[in-house]
Amino acid sequence: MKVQINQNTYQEYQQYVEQKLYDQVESCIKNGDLKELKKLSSENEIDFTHDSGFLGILAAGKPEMLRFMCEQSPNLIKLHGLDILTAAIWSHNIDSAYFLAKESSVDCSDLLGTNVYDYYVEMTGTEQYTNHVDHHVY
Amino acid sequence: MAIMKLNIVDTGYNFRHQEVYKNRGTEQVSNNFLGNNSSIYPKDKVDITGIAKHIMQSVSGRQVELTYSLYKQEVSAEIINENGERIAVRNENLPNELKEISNPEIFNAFLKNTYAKVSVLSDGEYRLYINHRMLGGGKDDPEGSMTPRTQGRKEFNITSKVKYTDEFCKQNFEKLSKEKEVITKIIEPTTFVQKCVEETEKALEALKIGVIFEQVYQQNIRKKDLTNFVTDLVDNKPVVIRYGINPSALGVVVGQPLDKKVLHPIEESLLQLAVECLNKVPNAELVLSKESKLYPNNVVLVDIFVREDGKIKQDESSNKPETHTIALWRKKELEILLIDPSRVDFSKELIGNIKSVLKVEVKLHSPTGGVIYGTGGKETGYSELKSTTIAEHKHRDCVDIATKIGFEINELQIDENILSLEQIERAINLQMSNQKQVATYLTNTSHGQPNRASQSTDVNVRRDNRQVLELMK
Repeated sequence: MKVQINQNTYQEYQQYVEQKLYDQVESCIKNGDLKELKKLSSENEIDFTHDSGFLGILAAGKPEMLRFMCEQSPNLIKLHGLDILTAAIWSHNIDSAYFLAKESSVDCSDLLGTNVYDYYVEMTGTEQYTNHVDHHVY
Repeated sequence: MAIMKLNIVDTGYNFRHQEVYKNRGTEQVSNNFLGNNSSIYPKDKVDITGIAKHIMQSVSGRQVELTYSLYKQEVSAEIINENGERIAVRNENLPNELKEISNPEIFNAFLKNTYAKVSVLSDGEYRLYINHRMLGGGKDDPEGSMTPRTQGRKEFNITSKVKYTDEFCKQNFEKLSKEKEVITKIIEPTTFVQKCVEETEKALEALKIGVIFEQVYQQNIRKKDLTNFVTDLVDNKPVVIRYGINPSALGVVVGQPLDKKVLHPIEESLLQLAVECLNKVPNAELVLSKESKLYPNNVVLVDIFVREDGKIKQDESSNKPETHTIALWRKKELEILLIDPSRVDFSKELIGNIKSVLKVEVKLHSPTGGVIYGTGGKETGYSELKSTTIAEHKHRDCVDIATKIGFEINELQIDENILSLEQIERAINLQMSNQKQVATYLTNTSHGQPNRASQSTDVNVRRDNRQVLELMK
């Protein structure tokens, strides 16, 4: 039996395949399976800014995974760095917070005056914010 | 370190049940099914009463027995008739949710607060429906579901406490009265004019009542309870007070210039009332240090105007100003935390002015993504929010969410597992939010649905729902 596939059906199929891929990516991040994530990344083109940076937020408590994702999609930090940093602070992950704020220079100025900034200072031992440069006292 | 009850799925609960499995369940499985065929149990069941078995009454009066089989890892159901006769429900006639259950913990958690419906199919077989009172259905009062909008007692005669609002009422009453006189005498009474007059009369009536009000909400109080509300105001339920704007009296302010960083005098008046109230109650830091068992009731709600393009925004469905509600929590002796139940951006710019009125440090609560509770799609506008049923997936409004945040903070402050202020703030995010960015466990379960049970008036429903969602993720 011949099945005619029209353009719409093909697009739907593509969307389905993409959704399946991102479901797998999400699952790897949730389970902390960096090896599998690297494998998926080598076999497919994965945009880690997908879903408004939600994948980065999911990885906020897993610094190694976050580093890998940022290497693969440098825009992740640029577009969603502050949200991921906020998630890292709420999840008490000092390594992720350090990586984002110090190594990746996420601008924390938007967090000034918030409880999250206070916890960031408390958690990392950072001195109070001065001109975009935080001084860590690890 | 003590386990924080709300950040995990009650580890103690699971552990206790696992122990029971070990004693009564697993041994039976291994002895009876895996190694020894001389089972005293039917082959498709493991009898671990009270753990993997659940008996419920259907709405038609029949008993329904649900059993989770450790051996088959699936749920089976039997209808028990009045004469004790048991009729098995075919697997294909079970609800899909039951088919997806993969372990006894989920089985137990899923069946909390549920009820069953049984129907007879044309082929004589029974079909079973399970409705979850927390997630839909289970209406228990005339106003809607088990998670109705919070109700509170409203008092308008508080304007005399605030000089500005009193004068504002007098001035605007006179102004509107004159306008009404002019309209009715000079202009021909067309339908449009008649409508204007009616609306002016309504505004005059509202001005007589007052432009601001105090509303007292108490956990688990419903509309039907409000008649006896004063006598019911007891210590064993948290109370949240709202200082609100009466939009019906304030049509006159619509379109007036109001910068997003500047407070309107009415907002200032409300904040003054709020700070008076907060000064009478203990701060959270103190409550935690004393391990108090009394609800501190140190969260108050304040209404603000919604600004748009530097003006007071008009509500889409009326000629009244659109208002928004924020929560103020007395976190420390000299620090108040402002919690916006919706978007942080709605009130962020006002912080500076609020600080100057309250004369203490005011910090902003910042959840990941800047939203605690968001409405999704154009079909979920705030105008549709009143007395909604969850079956229609309507969202809650800012007043309702702010009230629930107040209840939750009160509950958490006297929770023995809570040791720090940060735990409370984190738990608000996880417990109240419908945003997967804030509560990542919602990823697989909510799919953008409002998840109303997380914002129930009843603290037990909120926590049970959270456990179910955590288990389902």
